[in-house]
Amino acid sequence: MATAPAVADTFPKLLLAHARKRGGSPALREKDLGIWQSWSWAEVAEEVRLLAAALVARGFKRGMHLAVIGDNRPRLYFAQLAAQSLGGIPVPFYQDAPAPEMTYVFQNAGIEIAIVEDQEQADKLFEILPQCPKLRLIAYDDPRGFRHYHRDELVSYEALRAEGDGFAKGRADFLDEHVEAGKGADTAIMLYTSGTTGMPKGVVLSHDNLILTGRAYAELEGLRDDEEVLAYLPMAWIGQNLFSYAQWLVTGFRINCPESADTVITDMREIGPTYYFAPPRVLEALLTQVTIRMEDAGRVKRWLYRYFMGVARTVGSRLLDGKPVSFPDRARYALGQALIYGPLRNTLGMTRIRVAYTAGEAIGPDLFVFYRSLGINLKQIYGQTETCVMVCVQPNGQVKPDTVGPPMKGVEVKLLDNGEIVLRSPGLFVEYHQNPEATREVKDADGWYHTGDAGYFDDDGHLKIIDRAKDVGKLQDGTLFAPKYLENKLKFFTSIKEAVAFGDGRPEATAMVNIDMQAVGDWAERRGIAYAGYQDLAAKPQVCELIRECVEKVNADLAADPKLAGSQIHRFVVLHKELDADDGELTRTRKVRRRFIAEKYESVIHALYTGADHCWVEAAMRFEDGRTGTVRAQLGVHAAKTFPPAAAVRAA
Amino acid sequence: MNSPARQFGEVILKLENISLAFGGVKALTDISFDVREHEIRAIIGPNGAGKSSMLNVINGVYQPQQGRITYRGETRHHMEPHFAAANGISRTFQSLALFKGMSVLDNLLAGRNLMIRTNILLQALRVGPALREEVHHRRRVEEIIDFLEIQHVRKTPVGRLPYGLQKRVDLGRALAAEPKVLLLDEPTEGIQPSIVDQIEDIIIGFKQSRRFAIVLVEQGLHFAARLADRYVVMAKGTVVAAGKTSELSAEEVRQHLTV
Repeated sequence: MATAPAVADTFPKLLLAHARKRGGSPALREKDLGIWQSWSWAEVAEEVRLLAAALVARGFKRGMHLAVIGDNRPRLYFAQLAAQSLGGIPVPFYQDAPAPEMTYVFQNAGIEIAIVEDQEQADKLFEILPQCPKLRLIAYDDPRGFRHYHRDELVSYEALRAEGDGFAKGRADFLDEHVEAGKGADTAIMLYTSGTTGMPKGVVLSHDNLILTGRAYAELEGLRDDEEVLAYLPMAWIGQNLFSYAQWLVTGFRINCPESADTVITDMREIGPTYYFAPPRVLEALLTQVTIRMEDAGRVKRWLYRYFMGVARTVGSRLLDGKPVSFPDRARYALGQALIYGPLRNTLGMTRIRVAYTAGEAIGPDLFVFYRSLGINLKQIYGQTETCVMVCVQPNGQVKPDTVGPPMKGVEVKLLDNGEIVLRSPGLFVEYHQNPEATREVKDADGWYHTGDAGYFDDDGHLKIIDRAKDVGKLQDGTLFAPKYLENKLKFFTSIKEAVAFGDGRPEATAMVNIDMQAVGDWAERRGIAYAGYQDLAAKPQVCELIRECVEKVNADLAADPKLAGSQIHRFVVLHKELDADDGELTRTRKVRRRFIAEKYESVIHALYTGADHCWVEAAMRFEDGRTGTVRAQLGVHAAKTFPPAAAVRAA
Repeated sequence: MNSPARQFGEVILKLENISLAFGGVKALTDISFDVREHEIRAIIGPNGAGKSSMLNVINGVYQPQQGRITYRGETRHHMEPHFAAANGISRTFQSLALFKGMSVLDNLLAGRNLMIRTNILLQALRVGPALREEVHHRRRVEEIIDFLEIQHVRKTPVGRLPYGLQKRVDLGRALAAEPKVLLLDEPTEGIQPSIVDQIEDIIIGFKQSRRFAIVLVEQGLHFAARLADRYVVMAKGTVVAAGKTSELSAEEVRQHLTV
């Protein structure tokens, strides 16, 4: 203890501090073979020591990059920590990234060693190996399927660990020197931005960046070392690295890796996390499931659900914010708590949640209010990979669904004339890897980071984000057009999975819509509508009618807002295929790639503005097994009712 | 597959001159073939060719009037179902035979029924050896669940699962019995192409594990030809062709498909 540094300023130092202070208590769990297996802090430190030893023996040196590819798995955490212990830099990848997308990163970062989860990932690396001659070692965690692989580059995690064991023998403290040599200003990790435009850029984040941000959040929410956290996010996402990695090491709480992507909901119920982080799409998927199951429930249950959710909507958020609520309302909410909210929270695995965050993109206000009305303290935060997600957070008790709250302590925010948000903070990234030009573009000489988001402060000093600054446009008559705002409104409907709005420089706003296969499929089944698959279902007249209702509800909403009433959606199409990251239409974090779509679906957009009642579309798509093909379809173009602006109605 | 030249073990199951009739109806006439350790032997043929009857002869449900069966060196006139099940012959069914009301986990555990050694009283009390045994069986079953990637439905009653998943559970149940010879009766029948791929992956996994031989019954030659090492083509209760799949020519494929 005496030798422990006053303040641990790197992740490996934090790990060693935890191993000394609470060595025996669990740090990390993973469900395997149906049982939660756990590693104590001391065991984690030992795993990291052995792996680091093996990496040293294999020629891994300070400043080198280590690829980490796979789902959220304990051994990948060990790999990140081992690399950082040696002063190296882990570069995590999205597990579903196709091989060609990985090539660039491997070349850009000059990666020599990769630690991967399974055969699927290793196969991808063998595919790109000819283009990445530097890559010389691939270690895999899950041995399944490797029986007939005879490649010199391959080594199993176990074998690598055994090598480390041999190397570390008689050198019990070899790692301490390496760890001591690390400083807070050293690079901790490099995350590649999903790149809505151009090649991905490697965002270089220092230990200071992540640790200071982690501490800021921990102080703000009073996080303790007994929090339970479900670690299920992609390893390459900043959210994962802040909330399941940096904060794990800062506070010493426990992270739990689910068994597989399909079991997350069950595993979450078993763990009962107290601190939860989810991007809006996960929350949306959960709500869609609840809604579907409720529609299949009996009449009495359905009625109870509807009635009490109505009560929750009017009362729940007010209670959570500590605002005055009348006694009868309190009583009704308490009854709802016993009958509906409690069991529902339990089903969602959210009974114990003290703080939940959502970020990544704007969340639909209705979706957001749904969780808060159940008594779950869900809050929005705002930030980017480049800022370690440290810009704004909604304060407890003052949560407004349409803002992201005031700037956090230590963050300076200002607005440029065009509405763009710029900021300075301790979490601000160092640079883009080997790309000073791009760094200069977003980070000016005084250290201000240009977010590219447009927004404004409301009367309480809470920041409201409308859209990407470059995406905010104007209709021909000069009305403000914020496409993402419209899309988010559409996407709140369970039947709509994805939407893309058009309107910049056009006479009126229009939209392309993706149906949600699960929700609409169930809906069709209950009505006895037969369909052959996605494309067939999307083309059914009844489904188009369903979507039309959604669009018209959005229009009615927009009409109430004087600023946005002009951007009501006049016409729309229901797409025959899902927008997919594999086809380049979405980024890996499922953000719409607007320009790419505008080009690819030119014929559809043309039809939306020429008044045609149908159009032909031919789109290349990539199947799950990697083959590509084209899908050709005729799409109907539908008109939606629009409403006069509320102000005009009142005047009349 | 990038597997090196595969080597097969001894003949584990040998059928000689099997004939089976139900009254005056001849189901099988003078059928002979063998199965070697670790190989996949496909039985291919149209509806009514006698493929399922053949499987039923192998696991003893049907008793042929003529012929001999040699299994692991022991020659007999016919199999007894209980002997077959207890000695490593396990099968899946064309029309699934699962306990619909029981969970996936329990169905797989039921597949290990014959391997449970402790008596019912000890099991009921969950003490000592019974507990250790249960832990062992649960572990094996969990490994199968992991292999088939059905963790998310571990505790779901089988009757509530989609058909394709039920097929996987049926495979798991057969696997749980730790077979020496696994009989697969049309594992891809009635399921959509994407699930066929999954089943194919699973069977390839079986093959790579080299733990048991597989007799694969299929109507479609293509699926069987991709997986099997050797094949037998049956029509109207007789064997019309047999050989190694690697030596099948396009012409032969066409011919067999039209029998």
